[in-house]
Amino acid sequence: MTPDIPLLEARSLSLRYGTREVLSDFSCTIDQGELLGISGPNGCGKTTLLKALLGIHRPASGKILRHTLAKNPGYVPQHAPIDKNFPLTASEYLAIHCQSRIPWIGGIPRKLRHGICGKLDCLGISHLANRQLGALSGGELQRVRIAAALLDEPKLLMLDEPSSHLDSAATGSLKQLLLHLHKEHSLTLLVVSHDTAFLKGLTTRCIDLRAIAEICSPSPSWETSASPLTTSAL
Amino acid sequence: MRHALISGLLLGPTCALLGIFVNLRGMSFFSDALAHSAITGVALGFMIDAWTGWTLDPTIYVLIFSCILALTMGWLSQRTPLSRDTITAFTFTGSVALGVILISLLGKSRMLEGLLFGSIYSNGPADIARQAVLATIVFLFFLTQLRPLTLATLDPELARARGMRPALLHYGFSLLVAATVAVGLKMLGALLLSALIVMPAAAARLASHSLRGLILGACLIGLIAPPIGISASAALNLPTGPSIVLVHVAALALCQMIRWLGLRFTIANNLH
Repeated sequence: MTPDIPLLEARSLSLRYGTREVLSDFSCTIDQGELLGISGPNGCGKTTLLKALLGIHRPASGKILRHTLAKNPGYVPQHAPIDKNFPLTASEYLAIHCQSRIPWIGGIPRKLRHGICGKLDCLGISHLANRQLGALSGGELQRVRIAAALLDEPKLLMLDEPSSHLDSAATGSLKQLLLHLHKEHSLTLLVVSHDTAFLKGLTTRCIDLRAIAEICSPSPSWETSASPLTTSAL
Repeated sequence: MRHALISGLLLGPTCALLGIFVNLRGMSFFSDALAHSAITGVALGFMIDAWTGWTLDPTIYVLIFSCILALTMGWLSQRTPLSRDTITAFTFTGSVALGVILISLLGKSRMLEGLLFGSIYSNGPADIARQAVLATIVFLFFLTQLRPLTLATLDPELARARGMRPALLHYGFSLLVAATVAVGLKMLGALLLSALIVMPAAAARLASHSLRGLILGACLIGLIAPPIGISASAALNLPTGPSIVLVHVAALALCQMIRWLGLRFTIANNLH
């Protein structure tokens, strides 16, 4: 892994949520190999920022530059209540996330099985493969969602409030998992959370959106970087 | 009888397949509304024919009207703060009211029974050809769009983040439901058609944990229920449409019993 290659760079971003401006003139970068945290109270624009970085929220102004390695980042959205009766197993949940255009109608195509099996094994949840999503605990479901986000082998994984709705044991386990993915699989992570206790000890750097000030280590000097970043379609 | 059986075999699984996502997306009332609104499509068709001197098949008018209505409902649900249920309710009642008034103005009130209950035995080769084309389109749609449609149903925001277009998928799916309603109206009529769409998936959902189980179960019920209903109605001299619906009700009851007995199954995907 080559350190300090900026995977994502936000330049002078201004973001609106409806008619309200939630962030103005915000700049930051995410370097390859770092575990960046973004914290702040509810409503300060954390999720909006994450969606803008993902390309699903249009900034009011500013630029987002993406390295080719960050073209298809993995994304684990904020916990949304899942219909407990939705007839979908964990392995099927992973299958519907795959970007591959292999046609299928029910049974998981053979070409996808290997990848799904590998991801479930990697996250230690292969025993959940045939369990219905609604029957999983909060911690198990979060692991399945992370496995789904990693299915296409992204170099960058973005998580929005990953510890919400989890008890302390599941939160600790999730923290260990994220650290494992970061260290052992060289994954760059961006974790958005209002829970500073969760981010503490997890992230290598943290940006507090309330203060727009970095509260951990300082940012590397990405402003002068000449890495092959491309401007996202804004 | 042969044509009726072929129609049942074509439309049953097609409706069942669509019914899976009608069910999962909470659109049962939507398909019911489209089926009932077909009355207005037929009435408008008569008026257009009377004005222009054309003699087009009423299915074409129903198809156009149902598609416009489906798109309008989709557009309203995205552009107004009204819930999908509320939009469906006023579109449903409004269009049925308009259809009944138009039909009574045209002096064709006796047609209403046929529109409401259908007549599967009047299906001709042209109807069967239309049903075959529809079945092919629906199958191809599911073959290519099953994954995005499932993800968009479960989590639209995540689907957007994965580069999918949930709104476009919703419109495409709604148009397929509208086309199915238009093509299937002759078989079961407005009152009973939505049963063919909603019931197989509802029954299979009671007895399955997995999407694979749901698809196989719904298609199986959709495949066997119409022929059983048609055969039973012929043997016992009963109305055909209601007989088909009652077979679906029996399948639903059977699946509920399976659930009560704790025999819910997952047709597991073998990953190795």
